[in-house]
Amino acid sequence: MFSILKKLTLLTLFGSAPFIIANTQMNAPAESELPEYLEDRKLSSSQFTQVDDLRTVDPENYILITEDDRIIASNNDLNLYFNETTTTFKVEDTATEYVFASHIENPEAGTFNALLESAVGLDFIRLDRNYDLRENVGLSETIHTVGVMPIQDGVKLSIEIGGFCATRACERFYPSYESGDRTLEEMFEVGFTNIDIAFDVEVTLREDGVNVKVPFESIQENAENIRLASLTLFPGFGATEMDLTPGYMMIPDGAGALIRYEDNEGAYLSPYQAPFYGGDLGIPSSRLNVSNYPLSLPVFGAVHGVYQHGFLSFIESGDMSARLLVYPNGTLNQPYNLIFAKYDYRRIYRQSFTTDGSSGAPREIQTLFSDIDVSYTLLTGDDAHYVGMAHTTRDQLGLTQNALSEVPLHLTYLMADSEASFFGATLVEMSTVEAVRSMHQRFLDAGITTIDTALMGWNEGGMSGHLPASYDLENSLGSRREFEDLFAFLNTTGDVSLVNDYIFAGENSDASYRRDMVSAVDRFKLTFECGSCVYSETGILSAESAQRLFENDLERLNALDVDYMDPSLGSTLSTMYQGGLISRETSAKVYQAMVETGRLNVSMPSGYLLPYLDKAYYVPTYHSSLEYFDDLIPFMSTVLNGVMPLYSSYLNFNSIGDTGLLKLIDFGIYPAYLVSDQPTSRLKNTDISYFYTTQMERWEDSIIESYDFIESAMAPTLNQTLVRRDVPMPGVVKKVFDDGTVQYINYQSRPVTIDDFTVNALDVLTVEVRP
Amino acid sequence: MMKLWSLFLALQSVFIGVIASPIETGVRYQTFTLNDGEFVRTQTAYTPLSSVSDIYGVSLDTPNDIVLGDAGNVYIASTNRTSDTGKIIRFNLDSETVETLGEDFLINPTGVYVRDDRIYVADRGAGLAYQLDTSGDILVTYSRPDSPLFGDDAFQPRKILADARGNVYILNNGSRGLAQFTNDNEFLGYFGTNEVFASLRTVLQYFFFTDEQRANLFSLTPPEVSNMAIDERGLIHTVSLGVEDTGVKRLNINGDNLLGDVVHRANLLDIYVGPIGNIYTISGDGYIYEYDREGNLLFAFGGQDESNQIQGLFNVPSALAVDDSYTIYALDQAEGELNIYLPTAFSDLVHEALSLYQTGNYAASEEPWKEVLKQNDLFDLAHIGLGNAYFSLERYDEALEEFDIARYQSGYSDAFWEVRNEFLLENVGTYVLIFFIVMIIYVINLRLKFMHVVTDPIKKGIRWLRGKSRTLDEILYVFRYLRNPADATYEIKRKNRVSILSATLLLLIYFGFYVYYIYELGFLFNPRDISEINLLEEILRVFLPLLLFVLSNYLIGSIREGEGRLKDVYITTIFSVTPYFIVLPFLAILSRGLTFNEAFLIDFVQFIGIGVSVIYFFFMVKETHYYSIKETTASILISFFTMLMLLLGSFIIYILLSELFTLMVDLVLEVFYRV
Repeated sequence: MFSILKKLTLLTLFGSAPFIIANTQMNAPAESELPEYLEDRKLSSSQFTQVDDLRTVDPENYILITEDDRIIASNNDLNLYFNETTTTFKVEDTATEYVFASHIENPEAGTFNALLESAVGLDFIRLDRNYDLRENVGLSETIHTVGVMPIQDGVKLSIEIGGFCATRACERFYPSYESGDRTLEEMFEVGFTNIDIAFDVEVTLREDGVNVKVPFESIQENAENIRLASLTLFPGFGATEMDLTPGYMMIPDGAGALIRYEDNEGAYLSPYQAPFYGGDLGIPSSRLNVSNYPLSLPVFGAVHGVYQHGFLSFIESGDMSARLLVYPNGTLNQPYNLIFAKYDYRRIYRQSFTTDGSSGAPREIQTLFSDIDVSYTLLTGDDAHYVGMAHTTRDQLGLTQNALSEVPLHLTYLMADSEASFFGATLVEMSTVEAVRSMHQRFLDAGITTIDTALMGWNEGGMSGHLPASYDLENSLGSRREFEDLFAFLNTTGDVSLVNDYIFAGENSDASYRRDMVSAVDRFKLTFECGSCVYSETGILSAESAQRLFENDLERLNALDVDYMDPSLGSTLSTMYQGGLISRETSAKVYQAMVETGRLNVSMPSGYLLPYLDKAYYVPTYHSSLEYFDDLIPFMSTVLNGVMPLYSSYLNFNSIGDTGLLKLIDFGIYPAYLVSDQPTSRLKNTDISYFYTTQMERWEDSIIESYDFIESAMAPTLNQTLVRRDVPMPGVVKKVFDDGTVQYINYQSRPVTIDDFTVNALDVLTVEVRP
Repeated sequence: MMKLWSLFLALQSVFIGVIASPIETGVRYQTFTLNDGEFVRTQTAYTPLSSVSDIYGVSLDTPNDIVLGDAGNVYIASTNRTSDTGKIIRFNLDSETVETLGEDFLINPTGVYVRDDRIYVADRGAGLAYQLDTSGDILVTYSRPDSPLFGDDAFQPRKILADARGNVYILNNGSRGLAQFTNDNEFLGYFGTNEVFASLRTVLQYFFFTDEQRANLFSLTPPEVSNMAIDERGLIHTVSLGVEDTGVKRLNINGDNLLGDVVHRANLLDIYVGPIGNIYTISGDGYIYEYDREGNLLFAFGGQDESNQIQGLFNVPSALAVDDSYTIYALDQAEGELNIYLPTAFSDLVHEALSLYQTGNYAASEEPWKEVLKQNDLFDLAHIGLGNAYFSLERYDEALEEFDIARYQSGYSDAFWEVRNEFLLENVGTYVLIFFIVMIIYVINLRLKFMHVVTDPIKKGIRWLRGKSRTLDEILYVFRYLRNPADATYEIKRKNRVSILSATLLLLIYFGFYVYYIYELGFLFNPRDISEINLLEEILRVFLPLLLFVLSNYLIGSIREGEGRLKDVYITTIFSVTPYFIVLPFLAILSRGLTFNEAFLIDFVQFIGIGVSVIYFFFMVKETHYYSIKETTASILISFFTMLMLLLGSFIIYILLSELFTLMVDLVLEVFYRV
């Protein structure tokens, strides 16, 4: 009521444009009272978006077009140049004359020089040297031939790499080897490696950028003991030196992260490295992955001068076995900021021969089964920003806008789990069907009318150890009839889903250990042990079995208008072994088909599922908190806002107070809570005791209060498209939407004045510009 | 305690790296607290800020120690990486100022402390400690004392602090404790030395080793004190290396430990006393622990990251300090960084509730504790706090419930006493009435003997049942055995009075009593966590010793001229332990109505049960084998020894067989994968 009165007062006061919609202050748990200097440090930490360096790029630092660069394609905005001598490419924006190159000319990067001065690089495995992996070999340091063939809007290069010289003596002797004066054996003695790998690279100009493609069929490994490990394309694309260029690199880690171009003073020893779509559980590997969020989208990008120049790279194919590498300056003692992807054709893993996995030998396995196809979209002006990158990503994924009628709330009702008892396990009831109904009614009575619901632990035996479950309702919670009446009731406020899991299979699930659970590529069953758990063993389900189990229930789900909700399927993609190798791509296709039925919702969805989804759960609001990152940005959510409703992880377990709610408003993510009727302490002997606070009685008021706060802030911009998101001062975000509405979000615990408006401490101010 | 830690580490490894978590905390570590004596996840208590390797342009180099002074000044003792010098960095985040002190004379300053405008520095490299004024000039130099009390250690001061009286404590050789000096460099003696505990191994070594070996072995030194801190009351706190449970100590003026057992790992490096007396420690593997003033664990978080890439984790931690707003400053020696952790809304709530609670303001702490429980319902300390709040408000029923959730026995006992008292007071009239009625009936029965009207049919019924069922008759024969073991044993041996089946059934009945007992024994007296009772384990616990004894005793009897057949030994053994099992259900029922004040009753009944069983057991062996007292004693002892050997033998065979099995499987695997 007070809020409406306040709005009315403001309406009369500001009858003319702009029209302010101010929100009342929250009464959520108070933010800790930090001294101002600590709060300033907090707001300037990598957990917030920072103020942009708006300097223009010095034309001195522009890449120049040289005589050797020959135009091979052009359109209204862009020219594509090819340098046949060095086999490199440049693309020029004709309006701004800004140039991006596939490489760095005359780099000063020590051992990295050869890779950086080439448009193509490779890693290879020497089988005869105990699977030694030779990394970052640039085309320029190999002995190779390139066949150039013009194609529509570009060229096709047929690259044949003959050998690689690890020593200067080898390079000196090579001409005499070619002329037949030296034998191959003599060359081996001076460090020559006979690589004999060939592949084609097609580089074409697109309307808004460049496309690079390596057809899968063109890849050939002709040497007996050499295997191609990975290909690197355009390693120097968008590279900058030290802090000479203002701007940043964008990494889709979690919610999204930026690494700004600044002098790191050699702070980093190793590059940022992460596979797209998360780690591969099926390939036991020593490769270090320090991220805790997957790269859900197959993109990366950089901005040179904010709102000036930039690019977004989108991996259309080959993404399933690609990884992103980012070298902030100083990494490996080289002065460049680099961001590029490596496409793994094969990977090395360790094959153990003992039951305890103690000894073993290296082996390799093919991981790429399709073309590598990657586009670089050039961004200029307003688009040269992570918001522009997000829009480009959305277009590339082919996502379409869907309007929402109201700000939704997501509630997951926790119904049951099991704890160990004298004989086996006994059910721990957390919410009966009747209790769920009455809890839901209480939210309706409080005026929340759009509620998306999920039920957790609805199945026989409860949640842990029993998923994937077929449609088998736990009858001590309610009869089948009562359950189905409940679904109908919940459906009146929004969609209803039942939590199920088609990736991780518990020991009491409906999946069979022999038939449905897969092995890793080393042919050991992929299982996880939990010694102190009620259900100690978890396996991984094959995609095929997942689909079979899911489709068994599909008809019933359709009849009842109920979905399944899978907390793992959206972000887990593994190579598997079951009779034969099952690649990530094969599994991804099966998962796509499952999601396409419209009856399977997932959490933290990866890019390959997005076109088939109509909502997303557990959408990240953080990045992996790595030392490299300078900013947290809402990249993922900007891509998906307006396409589908995004729901947060359960806010019960987020102790950060008001800032957390502000961030949801800032990122355009709707709140989600996990609620139970019974006290949470009943869960303490179950396998889900990490849900340490769920009780309705404790949470009801704050869920309603938080929702009201979020609803009042988000309703005015519902279905609007974000066009700009700036940080005018630390801790203050200014968002501009396509209809001109401006929203200020103040993360500071003191009021701020900006653009002649005062924004309360920890509050949101929405200014609607009237026509 | 080992189980606790293995669980803690398992939780860490299970959850690190798990993606798509329904719980998103934004920090790269889990925060744990204790529930029921076990680690459980809780809300994030502290969030890390980006770490810094220089402060306003001054490099931290290798930071060794950190302390907070007045007016927001922070002092860091640091060793320069490029030269053999060190420095004290004083900075102020509020005024954004920084200075370096002592760079001209410090070599390797590893400890710094500030009190009353005096800066105390321990310089390990120089073998000296200093008292400096605020501008960094030396006022007093502390050097190696000549006193014989000091011992023959070299003087390499590692840490330093001063108390309100001006005494200076220097950590030199941690095994000796803290070297105590007067303010002007007079050595007073050692303080806070750890005790030496002889382990079973050292005791065995002491017995079996030669003098020479002993001389080599017994440099038995007390565990090393690794760091120290002082609280507002002037009490010194220490942490030690290689000590379980008592590695965190608060020392009184005599050097006695005022804290009980504390949950921690045996690799604590630094300790700091924060506001409201909260104790913070940091371990070698990067975990930060926060305890309340009494040493109860509030939070454990952090961890190690050798990749140096993850915010909030440590490579090689060295020290920590905590300011008045509960902000934690922690140093990483290897990375040369300062990590700052800010408290979250959740830990602020806990601190608020604690500060009210610790000052005895229980009633006022009710609301904050409730808020804490809203954030985490599996938080023992909050349930105890709320329970105490209810207790002080005389809401005993609610207090009882909270203490029960937290499994806080002494609080539960007190609250239960009150609840029971209330109940008894309310119902005193009824009980007195019932008592008198029973008394009257008893007295009348003495005269008129009318009770046989009730008892006779029962006796008759039992007799009829015994006649009908041979098994029941045999089972009930146990009472006859208890009245006269000698005769009953004769009947069993010579006349096969009892069958094996009946004895087995009786044993199962006893097991039933036992199960009832372990489940139903009152919370105050039950050492088990009911949820963790394992059927197989309990079966083994009851049946294995009995059956092993039967077997061993029979075998021993057969070579030592015992009369008993295997069947006899089996039956009489089961009969003889009857008193122990028969009191179990009564104990369970009795325990439900008692508090700690009456605990002796439980002990007494249990003692009777066991004592009588032991006597029967002895006579059982004697009668079964027809032994003399001496022979009986020998037979029992040899049987016990045989039991041990049987166990050991089967264990060895099991190990060998499983090794053989693994070998076969590995062979097959290797052939399968290699070919």
